[in-house]
Amino acid sequence: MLLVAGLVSPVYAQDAGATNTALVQWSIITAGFALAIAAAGGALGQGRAVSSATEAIARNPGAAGEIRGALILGLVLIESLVIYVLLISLILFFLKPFGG
Amino acid sequence: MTAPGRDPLLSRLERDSVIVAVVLAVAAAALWPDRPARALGVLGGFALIALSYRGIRAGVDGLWAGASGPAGADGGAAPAPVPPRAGFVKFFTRHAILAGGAYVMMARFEFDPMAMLAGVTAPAVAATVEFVRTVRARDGGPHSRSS
Repeated sequence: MLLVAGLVSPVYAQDAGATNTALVQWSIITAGFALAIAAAGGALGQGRAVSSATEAIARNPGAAGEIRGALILGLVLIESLVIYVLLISLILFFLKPFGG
Repeated sequence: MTAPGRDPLLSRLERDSVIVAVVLAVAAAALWPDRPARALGVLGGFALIALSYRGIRAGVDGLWAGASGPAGADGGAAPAPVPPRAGFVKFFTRHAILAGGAYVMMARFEFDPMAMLAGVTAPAVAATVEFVRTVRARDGGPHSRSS
């Protein structure tokens, strides 16, 4: 039994290595897609924010200062979400937490 | 991120963000004194979001300067004295600058990635603090809690 287990263990090791490589590959692919989705979502959100802000200023030019502050705050908060994904993608790309 | 603010909301947010980042960095340095990469990571993440903020602000100011004519002509806050073209360059190249900066911090300087995420969170925490402050100020009136 021990002999069989000893013979089988390298096979398990090879499986683990293959699984690890596949995990690294998939993590990199996932990071790329996550970055693309985050950039697209952030761009859509920021575009909507700028669109709404310009429309609001066109309706009420007297409130332009307050709208500008709220617009910058909203853009920065959207941007921070994109930066989160950027950092996580960089972690997956370069630090490789799943090995590899 | 501490440019002279004309908008009081943005000025408070800038100040609170700096305070949050410094507090987080000091806490990281106190909790893990043998791992300075964590405290530096917090400051690095905050530097990233500060760069992004400056780019966004320059772009919006450039847009305002182009749209509203002379400073303060719209009756609101005066736009920052940023040439529109330079502001747009900052605005549209900020992601490349951020990616390069994050790569250098993470892969070369080996800052702690989780600490960098914590540093990026600073403006969101500051916005939450500002929201709580606004709600408290609104509810703190003499007739707000009558029951």
